[in-house]
Amino acid sequence: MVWYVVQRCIGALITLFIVAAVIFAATELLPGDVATALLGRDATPKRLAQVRAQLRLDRPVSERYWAWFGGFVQGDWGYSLARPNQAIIPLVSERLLNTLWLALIAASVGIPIAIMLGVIAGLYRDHVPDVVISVIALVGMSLPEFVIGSLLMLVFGVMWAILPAITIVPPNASFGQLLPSMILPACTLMIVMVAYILRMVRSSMIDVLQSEYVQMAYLKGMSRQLVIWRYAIPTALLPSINAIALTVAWLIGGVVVVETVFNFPGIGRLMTAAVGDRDLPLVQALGLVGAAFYIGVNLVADIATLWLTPRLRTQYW
Amino acid sequence: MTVQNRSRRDFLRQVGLLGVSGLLAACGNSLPVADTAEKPTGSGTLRLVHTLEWAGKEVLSPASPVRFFPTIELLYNRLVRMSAAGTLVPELATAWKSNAAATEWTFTLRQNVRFHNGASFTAKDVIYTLQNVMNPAIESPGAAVLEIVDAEKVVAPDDFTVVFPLKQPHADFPLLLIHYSMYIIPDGIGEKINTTGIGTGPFKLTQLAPEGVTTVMANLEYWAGKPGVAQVDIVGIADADARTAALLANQIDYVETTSPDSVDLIKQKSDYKIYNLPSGSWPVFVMKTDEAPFNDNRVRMAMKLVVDREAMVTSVLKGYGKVAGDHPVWPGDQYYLEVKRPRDVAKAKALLAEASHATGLEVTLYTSAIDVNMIPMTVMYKEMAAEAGIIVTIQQEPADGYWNDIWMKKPFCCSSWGERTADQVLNEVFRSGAIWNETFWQNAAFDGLLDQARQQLDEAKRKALYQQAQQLLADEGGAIIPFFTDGLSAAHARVKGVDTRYFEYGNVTLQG
Repeated sequence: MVWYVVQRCIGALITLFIVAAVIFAATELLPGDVATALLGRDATPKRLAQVRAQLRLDRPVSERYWAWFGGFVQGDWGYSLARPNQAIIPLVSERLLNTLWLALIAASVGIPIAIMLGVIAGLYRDHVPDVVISVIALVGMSLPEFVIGSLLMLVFGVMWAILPAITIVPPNASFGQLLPSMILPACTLMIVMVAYILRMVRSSMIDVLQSEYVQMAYLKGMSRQLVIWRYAIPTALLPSINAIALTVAWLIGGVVVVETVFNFPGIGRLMTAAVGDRDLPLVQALGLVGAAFYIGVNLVADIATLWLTPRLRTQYW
Repeated sequence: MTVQNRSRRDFLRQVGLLGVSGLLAACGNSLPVADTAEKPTGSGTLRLVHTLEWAGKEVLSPASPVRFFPTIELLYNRLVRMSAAGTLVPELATAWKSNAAATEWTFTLRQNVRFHNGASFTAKDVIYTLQNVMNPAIESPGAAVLEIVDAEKVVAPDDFTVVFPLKQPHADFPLLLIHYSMYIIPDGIGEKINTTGIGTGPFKLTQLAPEGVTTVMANLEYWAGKPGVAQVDIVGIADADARTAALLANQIDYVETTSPDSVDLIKQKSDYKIYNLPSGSWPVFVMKTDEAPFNDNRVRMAMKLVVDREAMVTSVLKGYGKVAGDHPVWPGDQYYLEVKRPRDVAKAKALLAEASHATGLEVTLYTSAIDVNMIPMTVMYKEMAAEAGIIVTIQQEPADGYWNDIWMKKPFCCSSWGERTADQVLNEVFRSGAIWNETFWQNAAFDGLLDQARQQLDEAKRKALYQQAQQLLADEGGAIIPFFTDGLSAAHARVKGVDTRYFEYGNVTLQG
């Protein structure tokens, strides 16, 4: 078990390293280089030379990659280009906190709802509750986040005007100040997330209910209640852990769109701004933060699955 | 106050980065100053929005490349400002005159004006403001605009007179002083101006938070009378659609630049108003006049004659624009010359035949999504040109690297510019040897007209010279300029006083 966890952690680090290389390479592939992308129409030879020297673009690629990745691991993420004298770490961490709050609210409300609805849909397969839940879930899955966000905004922000449509508080606002503005974006994320998870829970619930051991339990005369709660649900939830992990990881990517729509001061909006400003060190840092989160959540899910599955646990013990 | 293209952010990227912008920040109103005393005493909070164009690092120093619009328009005054008629009117200067050679300008300043910190406004503040703009460490976009001033030799014979010696004659020098970097700041304030915003304007800073809500309150001792509202909030919202949503959700009262698509949405609500105000932003097809086939003016004229300009305004701009005639001086400029260039395919064909392209002409037109109008324009141009036997191949390039790899490199490409005054735009973009002479057009007669105009103090004669230059450019230059875009702003119906170009925030009121 310990060895397995260590193995997975090493694997995660290797993945992160590869992702970092890809992120770094992507910025190398830009037409021109970082300096021309940043300066645009203002790219006089003198300013280009200045920026190139400042960014050490005159050094070989490998040297720059090691300097960048090494700095990243040691907590030196460098400085933003478009925001002079602003270190990337405080810039990102302040907003990351806001985004994590948003994700936490969406996940903590969304996941229980998703599981509950998924179980109900699985139990009443092809009957009215399942049909209703599944149709709503399909609609939720098919609509892009910005459509859902705009609809919620239209109904609750514009027509009824009971919630702020757009966030107008700064990134360093307190949780209390942020909370009213978080409701609509959190609901948007939740709707998409719930749809995915409940589909997964529903299908694994159906699989489990058809399995031999559940049939056996019924044949032995166990009550439906006992079979469902004791044997079906725990087993059905296991494959869902990875689906939940993927969805939570998606949250961090999904917020880019949602935060932009709602003007929410998190890392998604920062990413949009950084891309708009051609602020490449910041884009790279945010890309890596996103990747680290993605890998981290999946790592946690793998370990949790292992922990909760006796068969796997004994195999790796 | 400016009303430019689709988004100010794009606009400023083009203009701000170039470090040259003319009317950009021009702020004012058609009302004479005396009228402001009659408006109702200010009450209520006006909620504005800003585009977070510098992503939260906005500062209140007007000279800074990351100056905070529109807040600086509320806090400061300039020496002169634009009227709705496009002419200069007094602000902190009450009168101005030049010597006979137009090389030295004397400004008389307004008396009894106080800064927000209580200090009196004098000539020292004007000199300090100018020297701050010219300080290389500030990297002010205004430095290039005001380069003509011999900044070291600016003097104040007394507290309310400033004399600006110029390096070359310039009959319209006062026009340069409407640049936003010339908002007057107190003498010796240094970097403190970034966060304090001490000016002489209608509002004083109470809270600075570019990424949240910045608030300013009415300056009750404002020299031009009490402002029309008690407080103004400036909310930072980066996304254009989010700004529209905030307007409709009654979180803000006024959006300065909006898109034709949002306009359709806002129009559905009866308690909102759309203001469609002409502007001088112009996208352009650039022909490099030093390369074949565009080194032949007959080809250039044929390329211009194939354009159906009305159709472009209707389709590309949904009608929110004005037809242009291949020169960049916009209809709101005092020196504007209307050049009519109706579509004439037969004549275009004849010219091409004369230039030995009778069998047709093949050109590649480079474009990019860097400006919202470029791609639709390009597609329409291709269709229009085909009828005259000009085969246009469209080459779409990524926005990244466009200014570096395509613009001023390829013989035929798209470009776009923000509004500038006649003198500025003609000199900066079309004069021989100008760094942004994107058409590479060299015309001694044109350059001569511009030089003469700068030295001509007689207004009517100056106008005639600038108009000759426009005609020459339209007939022989390498720019196909089909239209000027309108600025679209939207406001809640209770907001009054935002219906003209160059309105003043001090005069805006909330009613009902």
